Amino acid sequence: MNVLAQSPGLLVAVPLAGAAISFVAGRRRAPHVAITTALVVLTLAVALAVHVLDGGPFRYQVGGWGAPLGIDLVADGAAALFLVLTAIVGLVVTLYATAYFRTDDETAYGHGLFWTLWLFMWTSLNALFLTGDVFNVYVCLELVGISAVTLVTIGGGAEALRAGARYLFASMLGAMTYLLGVALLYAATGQLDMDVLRTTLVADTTAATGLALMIAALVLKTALVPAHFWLPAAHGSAPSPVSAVLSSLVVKGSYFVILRLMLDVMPAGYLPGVDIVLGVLGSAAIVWGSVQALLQTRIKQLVAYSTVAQIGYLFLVFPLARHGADVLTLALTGVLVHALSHGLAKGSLFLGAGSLMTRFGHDRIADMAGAARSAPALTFGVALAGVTMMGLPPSGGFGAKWLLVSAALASGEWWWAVVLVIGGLLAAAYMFRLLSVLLVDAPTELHASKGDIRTEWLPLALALGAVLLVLAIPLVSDLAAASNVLIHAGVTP
Amino acid sequence: MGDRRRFPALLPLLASGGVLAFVGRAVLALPPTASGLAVEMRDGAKASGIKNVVTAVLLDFRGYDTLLEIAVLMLATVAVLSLREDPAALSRRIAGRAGPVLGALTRTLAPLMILVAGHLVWVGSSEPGGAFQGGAVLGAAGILMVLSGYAQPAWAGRRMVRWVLTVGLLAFIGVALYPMLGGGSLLQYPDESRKNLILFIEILLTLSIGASILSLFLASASATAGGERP
Repeated sequence: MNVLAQSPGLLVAVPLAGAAISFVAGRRRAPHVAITTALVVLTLAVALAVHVLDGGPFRYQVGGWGAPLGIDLVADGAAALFLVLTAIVGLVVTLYATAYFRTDDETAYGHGLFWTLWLFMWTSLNALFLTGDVFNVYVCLELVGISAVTLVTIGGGAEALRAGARYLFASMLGAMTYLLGVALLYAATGQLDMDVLRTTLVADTTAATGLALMIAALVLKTALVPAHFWLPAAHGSAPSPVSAVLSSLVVKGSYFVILRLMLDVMPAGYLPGVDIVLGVLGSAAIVWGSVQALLQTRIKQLVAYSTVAQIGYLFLVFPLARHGADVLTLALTGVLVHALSHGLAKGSLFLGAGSLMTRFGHDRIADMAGAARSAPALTFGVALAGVTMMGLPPSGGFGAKWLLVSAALASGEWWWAVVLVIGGLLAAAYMFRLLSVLLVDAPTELHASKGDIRTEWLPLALALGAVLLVLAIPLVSDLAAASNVLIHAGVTP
Repeated sequence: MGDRRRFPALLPLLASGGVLAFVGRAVLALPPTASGLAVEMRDGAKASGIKNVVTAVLLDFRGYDTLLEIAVLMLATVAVLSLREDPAALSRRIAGRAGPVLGALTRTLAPLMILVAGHLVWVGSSEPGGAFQGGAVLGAAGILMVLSGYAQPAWAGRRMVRWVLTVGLLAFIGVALYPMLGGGSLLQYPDESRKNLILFIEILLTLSIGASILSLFLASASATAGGERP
């Protein structure tokens, strides 16, 4: 069996098998199933990325039928980047969760099912990054949605249940709207495969309406302002390993489909004005999310609003994509680096926030003074993640903003660069607000017993990854060049 | 007070109205007839040897969608179970009792329903039917038996029950992976064993789907009957 060529199929089948096995394995063995699965999936994701770097994007025909009858998976550079990001954050979160969800805690019935739910979610994220079929996206979104909502509520408590219910409604509204859009698109074109649609799409009211509904639904799922209303409560009240996955990976799943539809499937200007609207909403998200983050008094709410802001950057690629191949290349590489650096840094921040909350026994930022003295590794991790959030050099966040600012200036639309600078300053403000408390040298009464090598050091590991990402930017641009967006735009031969 | 309550309700109403008009315009713009992928589906079904086009689409052409849908079904069951704090409390709440009428009815109907479930799966390859239909009937038979006291409702906590819930998905994944050993892709059934493999998946899926339906029923019944959350 050629593992490289089979990697797309295996990247879905392996975590799915892990989910099923962890359900029957029982409370004690389930974590081992999850760790094994995580290691295998990381290997497969790296194998897929290597295969794409070597031979360019490839298609994988599930069932051997091929489009338009069957479903094809698409492994290109962009998909490879998101798969590797998911595998890295996934492995770290899995290890962290073995310390966070103690198997000896008999009172928490739902916790025993964390592993199964988490592996289902991982399956659906991998499937979403690989799928080349617009209906299959719907099935993946259902799987992501149900697992995400359940994981939010798994810790119990009224606040989490309320947030979960709200998340469920937003998620269902998104899924149903998406399905309606697919139905219209299929009625108009008779096709579901993205690549077939790309080559056959013609101006048509029904098809355009369908695509517009699909984009709107995905915007809701990605929590772009003003559709972010469900995010802070859901990400803020979930158990910390879950918050990390939701913020760093889940919102990127639906974003990735928007990227494919906007820049690959639809010809430029197919939905006139939508690219500008997405850019403006992205800018609004950067400002509004950052200001809200600045006003929060609880640590996870701050981090959650920071996600609302950071999502905004991802949407700046759409207005910039109108300005020719060079700007598109810079902007696409920029948002891909941003997605990676935000994924790693936000994972680190939520895991770090979870550890701080466990150590302090509360989540009030104002009362967390002195953390640096008694939990130095943890605090250092949060600070490093903050560096990449602000976009200070040298970090992945800096690389992303540099590329995006260059793209904005090259396009002649300098105002996007202004938004980027304002976003960086606001991020510095809310991160310093947190760090200024943590770094105060004050005596604290921490629950020393609740410290664990995993909960102390894993946030730092992810933050280091986000900083060191700056060294991997050439690799990211190679993978960006091997993405279908740039190949179909004629940038890459 | 009344105004403040009415105003937020107005906004979603206007939004839905707008979407409705938008969609209505798109639907009216459709040509009166469209074939979609019907021709490809008929040809494909002929090539695959599965006469029922619906089954061919569900388990063969778009078997990957169905694999993930089965995952959705199992996930939904796991999700509901994760919200329940004490599976053992279930048996105390639904103490099904069979009166003379319900008892006689169950004794007549339940075996028949299990038979019908099997029949639906068996005919699925050539006529309407299949794992979802069979599973629904099987699940209904289970609900009837629990309500009349013929089956123990101490359901969700048992290890064996977890196996029944999972076996369909596990079998599906196993069959999906099997062609890879011979160099095929995921779910690329070998031509000579296609029919048997699909039947094998469908039989085990029927069990899991039936078990899922029964679990969902029992879990929601317990939530309305007791409502004792800590």
